[in-house]
Amino acid sequence: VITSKSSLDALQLSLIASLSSTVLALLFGIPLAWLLARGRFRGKGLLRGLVTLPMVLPPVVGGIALLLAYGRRGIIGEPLDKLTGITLPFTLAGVIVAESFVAMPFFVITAESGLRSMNRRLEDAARSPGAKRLTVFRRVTLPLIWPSLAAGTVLTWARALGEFGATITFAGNLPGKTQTMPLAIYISQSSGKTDEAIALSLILVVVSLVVMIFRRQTSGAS
Amino acid sequence: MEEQKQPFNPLLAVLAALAALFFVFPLIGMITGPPGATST
Repeated sequence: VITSKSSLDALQLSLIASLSSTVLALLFGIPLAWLLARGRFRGKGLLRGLVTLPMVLPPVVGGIALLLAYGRRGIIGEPLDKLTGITLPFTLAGVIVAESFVAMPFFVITAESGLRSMNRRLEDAARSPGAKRLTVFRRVTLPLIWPSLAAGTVLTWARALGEFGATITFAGNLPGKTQTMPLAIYISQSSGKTDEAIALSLILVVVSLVVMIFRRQTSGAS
Repeated sequence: MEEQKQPFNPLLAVLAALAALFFVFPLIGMITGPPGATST
């Protein structure tokens, strides 16, 4: 069962999509966390609320919202389709978008919390002798908030790996194309293939366990 | 020591704005609904 083509496809898709959305969360989440932690502008509370909304929103509702924004007839999806021919729903990119939408908030609030709780005087002291901002960020800020970033990364990846509702709503359930592990498990279970569902579930348990142990060891080493 | 003001890096600002818009558009989409939709 585990080595069947559909299972391997689902595992491969799950890993590609969850890792891609985690990388996107790092790329866009750190600046957004920085903005929320250090920025001074009106509507910051509202923005934080919007960013963290997918954490409490039923994922299916998130999927509907994504369709209305980035679907073929969505406010962004329609011009995107007309201008570039790119469509997101029912594609791997759509899976990554759905997973990013529900998982990135975990990274943003964890990183923001790290930035808020760190000792700003260390940054100020490092900047005083004339060090460049990037150097201060790399040599002072990053090591100080590293535990928060690592925790946020693991949370984000785990949430993305287990994503179901937004993915099936926005990207569908196309085997070999958008069918991730949770969707494959659900289909196996609902079609009476309980053994297959259990085997696929065990793969997710093992993969998650390995990552959690690895994360524990690396955070301990740092 | 007085806290120094920290100007926001333009690249970081663009990435942060894109990330924020990524979360804002779905809500706008839900409020406005699909183009051409009619309520019955």
